[in-house]
Amino acid sequence: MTTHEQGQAKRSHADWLLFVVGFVLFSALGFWGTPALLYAEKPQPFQFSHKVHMEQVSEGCKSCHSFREDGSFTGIPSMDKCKECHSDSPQGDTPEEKIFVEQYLNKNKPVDWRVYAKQPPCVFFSHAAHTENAGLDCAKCHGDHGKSESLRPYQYNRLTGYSRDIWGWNILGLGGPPKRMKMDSCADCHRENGVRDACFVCHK
Amino acid sequence: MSLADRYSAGEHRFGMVIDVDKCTGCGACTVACMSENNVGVLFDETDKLRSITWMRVYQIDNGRPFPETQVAFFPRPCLHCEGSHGQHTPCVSVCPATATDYDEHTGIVSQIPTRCIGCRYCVGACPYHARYFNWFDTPWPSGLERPLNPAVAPRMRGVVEKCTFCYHRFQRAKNKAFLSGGKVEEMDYQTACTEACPSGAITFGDLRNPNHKVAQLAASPEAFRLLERLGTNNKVYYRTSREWVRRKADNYLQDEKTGQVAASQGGGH
Amino acid sequence: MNWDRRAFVKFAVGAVVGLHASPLIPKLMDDSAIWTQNWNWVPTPEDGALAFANTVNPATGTGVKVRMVTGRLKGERLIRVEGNPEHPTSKGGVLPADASALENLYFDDFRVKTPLIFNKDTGMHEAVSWDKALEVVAGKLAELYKAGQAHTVAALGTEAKTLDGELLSRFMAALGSPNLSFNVSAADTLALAGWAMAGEENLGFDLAGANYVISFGTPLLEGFGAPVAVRKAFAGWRKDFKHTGTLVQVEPLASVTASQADQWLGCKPGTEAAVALGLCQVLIQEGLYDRAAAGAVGFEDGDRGPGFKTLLAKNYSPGQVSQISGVPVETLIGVAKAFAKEPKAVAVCGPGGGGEPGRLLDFMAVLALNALKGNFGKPGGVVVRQPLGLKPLGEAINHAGGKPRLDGLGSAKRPVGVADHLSLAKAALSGNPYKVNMALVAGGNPAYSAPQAGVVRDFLRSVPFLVAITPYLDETAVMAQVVLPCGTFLESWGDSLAPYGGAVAEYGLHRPLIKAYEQVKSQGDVILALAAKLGGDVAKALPFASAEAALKTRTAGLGDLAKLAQKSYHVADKPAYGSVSFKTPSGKLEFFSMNLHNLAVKLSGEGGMGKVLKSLGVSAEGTAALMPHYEPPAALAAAGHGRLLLAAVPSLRTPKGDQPLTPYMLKVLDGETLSNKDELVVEMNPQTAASLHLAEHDRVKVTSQAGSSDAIVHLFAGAAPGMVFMPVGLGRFAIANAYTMGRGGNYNQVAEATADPLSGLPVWSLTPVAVTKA
Repeated sequence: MTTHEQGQAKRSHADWLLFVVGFVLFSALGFWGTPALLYAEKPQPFQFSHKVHMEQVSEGCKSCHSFREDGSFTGIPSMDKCKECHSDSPQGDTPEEKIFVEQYLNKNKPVDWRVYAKQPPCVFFSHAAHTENAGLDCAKCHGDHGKSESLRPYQYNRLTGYSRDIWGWNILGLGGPPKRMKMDSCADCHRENGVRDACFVCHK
Repeated sequence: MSLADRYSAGEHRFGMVIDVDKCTGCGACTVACMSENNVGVLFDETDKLRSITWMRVYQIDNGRPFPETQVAFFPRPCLHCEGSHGQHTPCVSVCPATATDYDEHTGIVSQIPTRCIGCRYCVGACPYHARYFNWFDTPWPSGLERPLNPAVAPRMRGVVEKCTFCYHRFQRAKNKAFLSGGKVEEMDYQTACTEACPSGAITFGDLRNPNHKVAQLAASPEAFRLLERLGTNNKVYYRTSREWVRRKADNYLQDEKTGQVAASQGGGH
Repeated sequence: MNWDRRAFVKFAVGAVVGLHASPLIPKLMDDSAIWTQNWNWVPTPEDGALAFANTVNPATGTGVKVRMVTGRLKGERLIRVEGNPEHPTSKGGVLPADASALENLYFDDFRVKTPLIFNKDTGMHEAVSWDKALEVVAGKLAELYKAGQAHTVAALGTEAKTLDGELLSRFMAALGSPNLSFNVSAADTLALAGWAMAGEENLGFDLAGANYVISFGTPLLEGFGAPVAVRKAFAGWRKDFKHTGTLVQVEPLASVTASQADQWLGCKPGTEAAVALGLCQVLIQEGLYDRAAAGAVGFEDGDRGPGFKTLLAKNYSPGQVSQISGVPVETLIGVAKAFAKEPKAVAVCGPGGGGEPGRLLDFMAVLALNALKGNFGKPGGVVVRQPLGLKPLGEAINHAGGKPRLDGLGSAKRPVGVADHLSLAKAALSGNPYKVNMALVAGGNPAYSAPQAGVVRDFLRSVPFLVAITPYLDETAVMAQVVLPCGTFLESWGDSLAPYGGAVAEYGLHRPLIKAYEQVKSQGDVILALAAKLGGDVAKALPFASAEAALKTRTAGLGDLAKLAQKSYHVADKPAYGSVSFKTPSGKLEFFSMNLHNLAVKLSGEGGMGKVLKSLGVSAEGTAALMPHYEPPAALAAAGHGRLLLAAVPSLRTPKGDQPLTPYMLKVLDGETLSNKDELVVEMNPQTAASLHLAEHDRVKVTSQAGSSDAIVHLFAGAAPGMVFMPVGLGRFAIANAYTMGRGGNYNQVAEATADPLSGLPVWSLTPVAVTKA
């Protein structure tokens, strides 16, 4: 028996444990670190409660996020829309409304909200087709946003610049909307419901 | 064979009839197209191999001596070929990136620049030179980017682009119809070039809908398509009463009569 | 367990596999793929609410709709100019110049954004405040005024009868200078021809109502009147694939109009009037003319000499005309018969290919043909446009009477006609009877676009103090000591009158739709501000707070200004059909023009009339001199002997006159206009080229007495032999416009302008040139 063979015989398989340790440690690191590495956070200009607003309006989401006459969707409401209720003096007593009135309303400066569901410029998304024609609920894609009492942190991808809502908050990218708004999610739903999926249906 | 039978089944077959005898070659269609579709301008546009014009107006003449010479103009958008044996659009069939497809619902050939890898197979495959490659980034100088149309996404260098029959206008018309509960009527969806033409030489609509003017005009014996014998089975018809113009639209042999190619080959082979 | 190499490798492999099992790598790959589609340097236009506003493009006469987007964050911007389907004459069509108007509006480098003053030390223009700039200009004007030199101030406007033109005229009159010139156009020639024969300056052609149209040498489909309206009429003659109207084109180039016409009479250059007179003669000899025309003054022989009928028979028999024009006799007879047979037929004259005003005697010949057809006041004929009813801007103050005009307009040298830039420039350069000390260019770009632009440029360069009121840093602006920014039609108040040849009263109004640049004003406001700064009678003559207020006064008869501005046009429903009451001295139609006769008499006394007419360039003698007749253009005599005749290729792909060539328009130009290497392409008949030993794509130099241009030869069988055809609108050299600078040559630089017989207007549609291999 050579020395070499002796060493081999003596060697236990215990060091495979190190493989497992390495695996577990680094995959955990990957799971924990990926979001931290890839996503950065930007604050919203000030806090906003959808819940409070929903209680004041009669037509649900559409009261503020309305359609224009030509069928296009307004998205974030204009200052004029806000002014319909907010006069130039604060109505409530929250510090947030004070910020809004003093820094935006009085100066007639639109609020540059970060938009969670903003799609790339090459995407054509028709709200009319989904809510009016297909009768989907807003929550189908946007989740419970309308019931939220405060705004979630806005996270965006450092590489692509897109909101984290597009990839989805699940770091594995699992699930469809409301958790995820990638092209796959759109295509899956279209396929399930027998809706066309030619390129131009969603792209411009 | 009726007009609708030339194309595979589907709700719409959007197409055009262009009256060559009305076209005065002014270029209003080209400019209206560029401003609608955010087509960029390079500092040197005299090199036509690098110049992008989705709707290009070609000039031809009959080659006769003075004073029997005549010129005619062929405005050429993307012709949105279907192919004569099932859906076999020349450009779509060669794209390795699925950046272009044939929509069986509308008959429109798409082009998705963000998906394009810039291999230019489609440019070579198109018999009508309707596809253009962005050799350069558009030098948007300060200011000129302000009139960009938000309905169409601007492109970068290295991708192919082409006429889309102003598909975004169809989308917009549909939006309006969804909201009002109505339908997209003939005049709700018209391309920018059709609207702009001061001579009314372009008629646009659904070739499958016999109530649309375009379907009536395309059925005229004076209507023909470019290079019909290639079997591209496209959806842009031209019309002229001048025999020489018609002969120039395809590679006719001297003993061939015009008007026969469509009848013999339109059905497929 | 030892922490040895093997153990470490196991740990490392575990770590790598572990990392790969985590979402990091696939997520990174996915994001990088998306990142490649992220084109940060490509602008993303902001979406928003769409809105539309009506306006009228004064440069083209097209009624347009402007599409704008109001973005939530960045606010309002104009995104498109498209046709206005409600506009009665343009009905939704546009031209390249309309559809690319936003490229003029938003071209930052090319726009004048603030008042500029030229700094001699740095050789650059420097931005100054409005106050400062107005002070400098008004200071200079006041200085000249005090020195009794007000008449040495010249002004070059664009259109005399628009609001801007009226304001400028009042300004100059009150200041005390008679030296004011404008762009001349076919409208001026038609007004003269109408005045001479019918006593009516407001004639139009009812193209939409006609179904047989003969066009004499004018680019009917490529720049006649409001081009969109003309082509809407043309579309009516080609409805649903049927030829319901006949178009006959008389000209020496297989142009677009000639090709789209049902019949093209390829005549020799400059002989269109002879063809018209030949057709007149056929109508008479075949007995196909309107008998009412026989009652017109000068039709039959009279005391003064032979009548029009006799002269036609003597000089314009089909055989003779065929000799002159090269059009076969049977063609002339065939066209004349078809013209006579069609109930709604009209003969049309108009601008030449390069936008020149046309020859008065040619226009009179065409009017004579219409008179013999008897179509005055009839549907599809020659109509008198309804008066617009615009109100005057109040009592004018005229201090300009004392000094003679530099260009001699109104004197025996030039009794009729209107003031043009070239005549002013020529006279000013000669310094006789006095020199120009200051010039004010308002709205136009004469250094590039005036006929014989080289002369006008020399003049502007020689002026000690030049002020340009302009939206663009164009060829004229760069020479100016002071540049005052005015707006394009999309950002300012102004108006436009009925386009040339239009059949109905038409008025267009434009208003500011956007404030693209903070300091830019309406042209009218600039003149008013200058007047206010000057004070005195000039301010009194222009007592308006703003151009808007002046428009309010002017359009008081057309209803509320705000409403009119929203609608943007006032157009009469239909032409004024019905018998025409001629306002000639005889009260009848006149083949022998009494108006012209009286003028000639006034200038000379009965005996010396022949001499006066000769000095005005009329070679015909006796009664014929004041009747429609054919005068061979001066250029014809100089051609031959290796010299060719240069003519313009009209096109709507290049803009008219003063307007900048937009980047989009540049893109539409094909290889038949501008070659790959930025060289101008001229068209020649293959035989003509062969006789000069020239082949396709040869580089040549086209040289006239006025100037020269390099070009590339393109052989085109449709060009008349002995001629060379050049595109118009290229050859720009304003350095601020990187798109158009240095591309091709300028037709206006090569074409030589001569004084038209009788009218004295500059004409430059034919120029003798040498074409030599470069």
